[in-house]
Amino acid sequence: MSNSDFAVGDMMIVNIGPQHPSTHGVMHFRLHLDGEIIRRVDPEVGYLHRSIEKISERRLYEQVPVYCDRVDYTCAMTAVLGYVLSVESLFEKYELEVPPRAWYIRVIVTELQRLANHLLWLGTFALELGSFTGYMYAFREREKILDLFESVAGERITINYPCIGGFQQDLPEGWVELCRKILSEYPRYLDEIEDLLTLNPILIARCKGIGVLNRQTAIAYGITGPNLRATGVKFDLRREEPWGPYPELDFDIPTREEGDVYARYLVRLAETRQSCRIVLQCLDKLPEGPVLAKLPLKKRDISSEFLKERGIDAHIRTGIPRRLCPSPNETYRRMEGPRGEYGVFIISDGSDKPYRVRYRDNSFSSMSAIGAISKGHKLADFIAIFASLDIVAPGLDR
Amino acid sequence: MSEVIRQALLDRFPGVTFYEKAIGLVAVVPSDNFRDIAEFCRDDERLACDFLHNYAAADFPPDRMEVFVMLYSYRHGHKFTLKTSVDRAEPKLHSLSAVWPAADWYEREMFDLFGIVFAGHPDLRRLFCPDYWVGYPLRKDYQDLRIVPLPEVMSE
Repeated sequence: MSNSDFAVGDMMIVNIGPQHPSTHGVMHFRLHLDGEIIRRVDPEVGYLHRSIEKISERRLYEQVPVYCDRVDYTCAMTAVLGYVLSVESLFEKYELEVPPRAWYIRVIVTELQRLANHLLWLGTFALELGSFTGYMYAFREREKILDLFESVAGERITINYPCIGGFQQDLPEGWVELCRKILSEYPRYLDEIEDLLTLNPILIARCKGIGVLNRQTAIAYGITGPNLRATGVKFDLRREEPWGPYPELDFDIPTREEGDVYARYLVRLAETRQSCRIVLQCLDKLPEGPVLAKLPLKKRDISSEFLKERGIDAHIRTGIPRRLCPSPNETYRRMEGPRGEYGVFIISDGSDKPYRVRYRDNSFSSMSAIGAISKGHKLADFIAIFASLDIVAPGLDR
Repeated sequence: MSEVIRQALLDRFPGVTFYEKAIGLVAVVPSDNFRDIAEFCRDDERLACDFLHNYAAADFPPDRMEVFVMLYSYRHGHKFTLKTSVDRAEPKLHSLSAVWPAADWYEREMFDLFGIVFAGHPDLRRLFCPDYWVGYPLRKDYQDLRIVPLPEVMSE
């Protein structure tokens, strides 16, 4: 056979995506098949590339979080908080002191986001393996958390709640009790989902021993988060590089040794229980006080040539608004997002706009490794492998 | 911790210089033996950087682009950054995809958005933009020709 769009040598090419019912998100794979066995996977990404990194270079530091929401819209809280932590690390400790209440609320909202993300993942994972009931159950629970977000910031998906220095507004009245009530019921619902899926023979048959990722491959491809912990590495940035009140909180890091699809499923389910524990502890310890730090705003350093060019008199300079202008620096702060290491690399040049921003999302690493993981598996298993890695297209394409 | 990293790198490559910023320790390395240094960072007992966690470039017109390689060691729990500069007129570097497989896609992304050519990369194609795209979007002087500026408002 000759090479064409449908075949390379003896191998047949099957296109999955960009629009396909079993890929939630716009992604395109070209699978090289030998019979039913996958020999090569060629992912084509970029369908959701919006060049958020370029946009961020042209916005003020305070304006960028709106775009961070769109970097990863399934966990917007974490995406924004990662950026905010990076910007805050550009300042000295005494310049920008985030109040303790804000730190606790940060932990609460990011852990709720982890819960919401894992439920979204669980729903789509179940759906792609053919369990519609699991999908409905998971989405029912996720809805409650999105309602909590809505009552706190008025939005459900692109929340834009954290801002540099803390939060624009405090939690609404009665929110803490509502959150505690929802979360104390949560483990019961999780048991229900586990009854439905964990010991389900069909699910086990499709997941056990499929898509095995060994420890060396995972580390070499830079995979982090639950996918890495399912291979037996006990590594969590909440423990290794903690921020805020994480060192005082009591939680476990679930790991599994097998590294297959089933192990990834079990690790994520166990993580939601830990997130619940963390939020409940934070709600108990939540201190009173302000939620927004005083920002070290500066008058921009504007040269007299700049003013002369625009015909502005020098004495009007007092009317120029003060902005957040970190001194020239380079920073990278990483945090444990729901799907692994999320970090934002910022180069500042002393002006009111970041010189370079780079978002690092774990979907990127997982996607680059998908060829190595699924080589030698059957076509039908590819869907299970892809679903279990929790890849989200916007975080990958940015 | 950072003393160990400095010493290990200086023992082998005396030309490396260091500075510290909010990002942590940064080792500035020459671009011609960039790959050797990266390989050394992975294989050396004291460094043992098995995890490439971020790999990014930044454009500094008119003369240079900087490439940052952020490394972490699961064994020792330390991290640092390698930084190198490339000539902006003809940006070229040795590929690290044989050192860390994770570098493969990061390099394709940098080729796509900055136009840095990685010698020895197995499959250097554009990652996000389509193959017919002209220009490198994350360069500072990039202009999308499809964007037509608004006409200036006439006064009087």
